[in-house]
Amino acid sequence: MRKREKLLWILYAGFLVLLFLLSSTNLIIKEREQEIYRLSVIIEDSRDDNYVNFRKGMDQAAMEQNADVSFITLYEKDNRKQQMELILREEQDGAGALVVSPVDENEVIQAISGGRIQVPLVLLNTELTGGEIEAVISPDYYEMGKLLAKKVVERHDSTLPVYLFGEPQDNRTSGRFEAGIRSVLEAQGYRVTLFEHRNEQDYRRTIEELVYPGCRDAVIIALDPGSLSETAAILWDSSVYASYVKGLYGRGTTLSVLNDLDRGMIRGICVTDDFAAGYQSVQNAVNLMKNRRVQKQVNLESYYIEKEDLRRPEYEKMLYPIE
Amino acid sequence: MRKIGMGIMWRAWILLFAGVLCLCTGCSKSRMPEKKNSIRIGVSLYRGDDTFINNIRAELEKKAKEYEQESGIKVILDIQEAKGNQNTQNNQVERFISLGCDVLCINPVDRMAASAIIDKAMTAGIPVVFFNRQPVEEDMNRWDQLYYVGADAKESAVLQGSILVNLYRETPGALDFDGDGVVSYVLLEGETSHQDSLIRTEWSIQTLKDGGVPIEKIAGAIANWERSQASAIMEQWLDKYGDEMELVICNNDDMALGAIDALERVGGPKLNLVGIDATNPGLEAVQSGKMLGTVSSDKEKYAWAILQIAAAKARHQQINAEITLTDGKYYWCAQEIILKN
Amino acid sequence: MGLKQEDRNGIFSRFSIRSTIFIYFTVSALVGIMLVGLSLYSRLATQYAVMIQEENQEMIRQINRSVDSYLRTVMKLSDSLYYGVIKNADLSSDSVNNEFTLLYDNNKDYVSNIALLSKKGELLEAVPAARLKTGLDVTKETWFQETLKRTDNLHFTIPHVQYIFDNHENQYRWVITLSRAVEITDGTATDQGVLLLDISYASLQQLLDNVTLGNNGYLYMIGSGGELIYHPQMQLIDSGLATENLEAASGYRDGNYKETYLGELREVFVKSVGYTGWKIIGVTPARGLSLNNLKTNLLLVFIIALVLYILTLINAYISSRITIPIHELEKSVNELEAGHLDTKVYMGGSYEIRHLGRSIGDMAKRIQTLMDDIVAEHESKRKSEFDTLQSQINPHFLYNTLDIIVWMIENEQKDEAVKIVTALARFFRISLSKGKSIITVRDEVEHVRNYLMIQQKRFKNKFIYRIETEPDVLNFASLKLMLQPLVENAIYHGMEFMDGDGLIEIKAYLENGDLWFTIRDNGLGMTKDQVDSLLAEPVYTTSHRGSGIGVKNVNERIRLYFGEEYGLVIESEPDEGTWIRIHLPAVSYQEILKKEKAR
Repeated sequence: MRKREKLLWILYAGFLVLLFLLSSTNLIIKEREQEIYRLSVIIEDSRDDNYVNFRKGMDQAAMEQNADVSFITLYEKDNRKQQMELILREEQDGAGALVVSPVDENEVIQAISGGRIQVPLVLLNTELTGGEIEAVISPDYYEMGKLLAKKVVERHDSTLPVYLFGEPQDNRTSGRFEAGIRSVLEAQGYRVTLFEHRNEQDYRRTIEELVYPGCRDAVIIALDPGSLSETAAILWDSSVYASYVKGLYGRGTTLSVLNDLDRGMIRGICVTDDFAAGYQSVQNAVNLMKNRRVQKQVNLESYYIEKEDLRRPEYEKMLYPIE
Repeated sequence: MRKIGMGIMWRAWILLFAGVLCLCTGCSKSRMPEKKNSIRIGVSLYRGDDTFINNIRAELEKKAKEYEQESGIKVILDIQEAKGNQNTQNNQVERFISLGCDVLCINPVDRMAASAIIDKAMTAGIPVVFFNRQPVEEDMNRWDQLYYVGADAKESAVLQGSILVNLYRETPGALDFDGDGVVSYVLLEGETSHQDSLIRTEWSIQTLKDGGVPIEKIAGAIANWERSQASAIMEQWLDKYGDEMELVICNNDDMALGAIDALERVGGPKLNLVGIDATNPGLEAVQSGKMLGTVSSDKEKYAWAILQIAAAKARHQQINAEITLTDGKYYWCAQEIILKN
Repeated sequence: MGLKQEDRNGIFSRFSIRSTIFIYFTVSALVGIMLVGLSLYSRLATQYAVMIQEENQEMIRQINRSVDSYLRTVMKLSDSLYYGVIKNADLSSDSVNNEFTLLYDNNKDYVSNIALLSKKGELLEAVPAARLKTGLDVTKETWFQETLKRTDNLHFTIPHVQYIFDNHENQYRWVITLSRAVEITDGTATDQGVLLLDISYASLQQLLDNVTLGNNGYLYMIGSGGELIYHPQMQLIDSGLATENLEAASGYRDGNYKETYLGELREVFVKSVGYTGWKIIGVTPARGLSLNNLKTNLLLVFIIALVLYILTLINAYISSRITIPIHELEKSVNELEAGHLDTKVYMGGSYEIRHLGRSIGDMAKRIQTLMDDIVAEHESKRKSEFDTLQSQINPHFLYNTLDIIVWMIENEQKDEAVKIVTALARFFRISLSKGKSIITVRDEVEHVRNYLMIQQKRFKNKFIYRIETEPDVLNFASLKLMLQPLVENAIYHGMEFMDGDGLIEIKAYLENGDLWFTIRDNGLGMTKDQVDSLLAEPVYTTSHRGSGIGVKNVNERIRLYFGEEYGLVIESEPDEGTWIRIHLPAVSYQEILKKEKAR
């Protein structure tokens, strides 16, 4: 009995020591060291012009979630091989998660299901979902196209030809945007023609043709922000051109687009909340790293705005995020 | 019985302590292997809407990618802008340090207040490459891991002046439109506190004087390097002075472009405009004949120099021998006159 | 039956004293510690919560003062611009640009633009240089109209993107516009105008950013109409990624409130900013306004456990001091139980224990003495038995009787001889009685009858005898060799000198439920001293005349067998005779047999 008693005393003393270590020192329960979550964002472009607001949202989320975000642009625009290399390189370098706006969505998705990409991946600007894909954040470009087309229909009658200006790749987002536009316009009987931008002067020439010899009017819809800015610049240069183009529409949220809208070069644009997109992409990436559940598909809403809407409180913060 | 009891007691105590020790050591974090094949550069720009700085930034990003491809070392370029607020910049510097940047590239908001940044960097042992806005010499001398990349303001001004001097020498009438023997000019200056604006103004005028160009100042104003401010001021001047103006001397291209904006908007006499920086829009303006000429510091070389010094410092290597440093700290970019080809 | 009684004494009867003390003490210590610990803890927690609240409120008051001061500075600037510059200037001849520039330069930190507009919407002066956007008609702007209407007021807008000035492509500015109606002197005419001050929102943000309130609290600011002016998550709220309880907030006056939002209870402190009607709202979540923290809780547990440990150590020591003497005593008792009655009993500990020890020792001695007595008693009983056994076969009586028989046979007294022989046989048969010490009264009387018959012949009819027994008593139990020794005594001490008129009377009867025998003779009798010495005779007499068993022996045997209350009573008168009474219990012989069998 004495021996057993002594043993009990010793065990109890040991238990006390353990409690002490647990409660008053950092040896066992460590004060939650702020863990830094490393993640990389890889986009499909070589410049970040279209991602300014996105990056602001990204930075905000990075600050809140204690994340270290590398924003990576490609050396060459739309180079899918390069993007894949960068993805694998970032993963190897220790990125805990990736946010990717894919050049070729199918390739990226295959890489995920094939196991080449092991870290959680948040996809942007894609509408594919399903099994392996953990999270997708994207506007519905098809719907956006339809929305824009409906506004065009409201403002112009079907006698006006509609010219679509776009980049000559099977650029998925623009392609879906185009499909949405066409679905509405063609159903309403508008003539839609696509003009692709193969060299510098393509757009300019097309517009010129409106004036000489055509004397025709047209409505122009730009399929991507770059084309939109370029066309707006062309119209800004010459008021003659501007008079033949009854309306310039498109999508994009860069400051130059907004300024052009304000100046009247652009009639109407479709925008999305890029800040929210950036914020949520980082938030979801970090949550995936923490093994928490995330919303699998985040559908960003598209809005149609014209000049007056720029100052409306509903859109003001979205278009001009406060830093 | 007693003896056995004691023996067990001691063994139990020893076991207990051993157990506790194991727990302690076992819980210490396992070390992550250090990555030697990437460098992290923290860049802070004084403002995000300065055209020249934006050009440099774009070049910097390009050069970083090139460096990555050449050397196989991953370059993480973290670029922030301070929106003209020194406190914001100081916070950014702190953040860079806490994120483990290997080197900092700072475009200081207030060149007088660079010492705060230097203090933080010194404490953390992180080298700093200042650019475009030069800290005072006393601050630069505090540490040997501080560098500065910039274009010599005096040189730019002299070059700017020489454009006009050469033109005047060739064809006086190209400058003096109304033939009154005096070239009447207006002056658009940068920020009051900026050393460059003072130097550029001073030396531009001086070069003209030295070059024997008869100049007369009609008006001058501070447009804070900004295009929109220059545009507004110019409009007022056009209203006020109209034909009297023959030359617009601008401390930088943005302000020259602002003046051009006003001219195009309101209409005005034929004028010569000169700027400094050779930003992309500035170059366009020169090529299209709207601006007479500008002074270019080779932006590619500029960015390249910043990146090379930064990368070398981050990798604890010697700086590329091609970069000649004055006083071991200063790299002055070569500048040249740009005229319409 | 023994075990059940133990149970009824309670559970603790199974535990040792030490365990009992230990448990009682530990439990009370634990309860005490917990009470103290928990009450302290809850007190601390409440104090802590109160402290955090007060600190937060103080912080908010401070921020309020900063914002107040900030706004006042701006308003003073507007005043300086108006009263100090515009009022004194005639715009037809003067330019206010220098003064404006001076004031602007001194307040660059928070002023984005200063502009003076005419009633018609012309930009009269702007510092830094700026121009209105092409095509913008300021007079159509609501704030412009409002400002002109209420001429005595300074009009603050909510934060918005600067819109009226021509902006460089690459930037947009968030500003708060402060406007007032002014009187502009232009030559001889005076007219209304608007003085506009655009304050950079970023400067206000700086005041309010990075304010941390204790316990994950935060503050935000709303305008008089309930719209958000500042919130740490302003952009997120706009995007719909975060929400705030704005509806309730706009209804609050200054003071403290409790609200529940999104399932969380929070303390809200509202303070209004002067002049503008803006309100600063500080929010502190109520949850977690405690020392709740895994480590703190563990620390509490640790402290309780430690104190408990120390207390129980002390307790164990104390109880040991008490219980070890008891233990030692218990060991001594165990030894005693084991039969070692001469073990030295432990004497130590407190005086009660010592007393116990002493008593136990004494008791042990007494037991020892008693046991010795029992042994002695058994010894004497054995001896008596032995004597009785011995006397069962009496050689002298046998010789004498055989002599008589021979004489009778020689004298042709055949019948007499037969009688004597028969009597003798019966006498000896009963004497032996198969070794039993208890026989029936019938047999005992028969035994003495036979004896008397023989002795009568021997003593040539010197005496006669009479035996009377009640019929019921014959089946009772009697001690063997009880009557005969007494009768022997009577004959040899009483009958020897009687010439034919000696009488021995024997009776057996029941009286008061007990069995009595009487033996009466009319012999010499005895003095009192002789009577006394009779009972004191040594047990064994080497009397060659009698059986050898003395009166004392009979008495002792009776008392041994049947108890102290039974025995002999002797009365005698010299020359008169002797009367001996034997007192026995009335027990049937069958009963005695049963008892013997049961043993």
